[in-house]
Amino acid sequence: MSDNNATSETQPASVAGSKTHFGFTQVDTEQKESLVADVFHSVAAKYDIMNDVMSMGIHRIWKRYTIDCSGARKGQQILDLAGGTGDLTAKFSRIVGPTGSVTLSDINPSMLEVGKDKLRDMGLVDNIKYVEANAEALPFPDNHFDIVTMAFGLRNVTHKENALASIYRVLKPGGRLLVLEFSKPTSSALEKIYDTYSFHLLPKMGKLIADDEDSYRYLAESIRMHPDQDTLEQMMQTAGFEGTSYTNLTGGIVALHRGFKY
Amino acid sequence: MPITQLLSGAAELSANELMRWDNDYQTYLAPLAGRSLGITLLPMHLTVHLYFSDSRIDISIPETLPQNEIEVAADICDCHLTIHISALSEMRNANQLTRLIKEDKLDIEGDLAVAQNVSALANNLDIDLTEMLTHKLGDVPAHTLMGGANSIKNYVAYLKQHVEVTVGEALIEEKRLVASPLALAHFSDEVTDTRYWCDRLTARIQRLEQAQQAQQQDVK
Repeated sequence: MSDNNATSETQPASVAGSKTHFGFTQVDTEQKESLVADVFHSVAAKYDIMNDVMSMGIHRIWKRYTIDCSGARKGQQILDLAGGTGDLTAKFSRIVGPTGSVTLSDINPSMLEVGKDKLRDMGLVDNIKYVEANAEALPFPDNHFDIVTMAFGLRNVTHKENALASIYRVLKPGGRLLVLEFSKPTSSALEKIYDTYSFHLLPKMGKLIADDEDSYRYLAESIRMHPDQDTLEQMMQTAGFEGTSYTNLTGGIVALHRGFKY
Repeated sequence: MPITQLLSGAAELSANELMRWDNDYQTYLAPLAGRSLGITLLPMHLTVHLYFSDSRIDISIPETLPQNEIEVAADICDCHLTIHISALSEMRNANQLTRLIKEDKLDIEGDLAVAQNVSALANNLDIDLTEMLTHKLGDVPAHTLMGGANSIKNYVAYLKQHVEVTVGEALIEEKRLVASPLALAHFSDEVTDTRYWCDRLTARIQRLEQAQQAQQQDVK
């Protein structure tokens, strides 16, 4: 990746000795990044199959909805941030065509490697770049991308406000951010069923399929610690995004937030 | 769960699976690789985008975004068709295109070659459903299933033809029996006259009754 001349990066606002959450556990701020990295190193190989099993395939519909809301077109520059195994990148790559470009970025080299292998197996090589990058300090120039997407990645970022500021910086004026993330169910009945599923069934499924109960317990805990729909929208506005809105999907289990840079 | 995305996903999966059953599908896709076609169906105003690559089709149903976002569908794709749903079946016949455009049932923007290549893809694909099912189910179930499907198809076609003939005949027969506008006007005049004479008769009866009552009172 040649575009690494970031010019006005917001530095992470970590303070030595400060605490943050890692699931329900309080950890040192500096420690969270490596703990999250360990989780994704551990699940990378079975990530796709676990996504299908855990969501009963619905994650594909959520991601499709995100793409349909992106307004992507031929020749555009798209950043798929925390793109993991490249589900969104594959689709975007075919939409933007040879004159456009999609950058698949993830902080975790294991996830990026799985994504790279998968996309190459699909024959997608010409217009995809792979960049290992921290969302809080993106190594891209200002005003570079037409669209930035972040699917199921923001909740793992230690300083979300820094990540949003960094995304805002790399977006072109007129560009849009789409954040697909777990959120708060809108119905209390659904919330109870969802809690039972995620705290009791999910770790056991992780144990059975990926032989990794702890990572999937972290997944459930991290979802509960993530800001709800309105809070995240407010955070986006604070970062400078305008025309923000969100759409609840599957009763608010997941929400798609949108914001524009004008 | 967004139902539109579920449907577009199912359509995309089916289209790509079906297409692969013709060994030459990549030959037909080659001229479309990297191109895109937008279709807006009227009167629903449902827009579908098709993105072609050398080995598959991606189907997207763009969401209408809120607030200050105006999607200009025609700008997104290489070619955009706005077509009335009733004209869809006529699209295969290239000779009909001018007529459809004149009748405002079809509007084409962008590169017409994309639409022509998509039409060629749809016409040239040779998909043998029986062979496809044979691989999945085995010879006998596949032939039984296809035989049943053909019987149903033939029956539906017969039923359709029968209904068309019956309705056609009924309309012709009814037309013969239907009164002409002149006869209707004459009948209407006669009804008016009858009502007039009835009113007169009622008034006369009332007057006679009143006269009779007056005579009876005089006798008393």
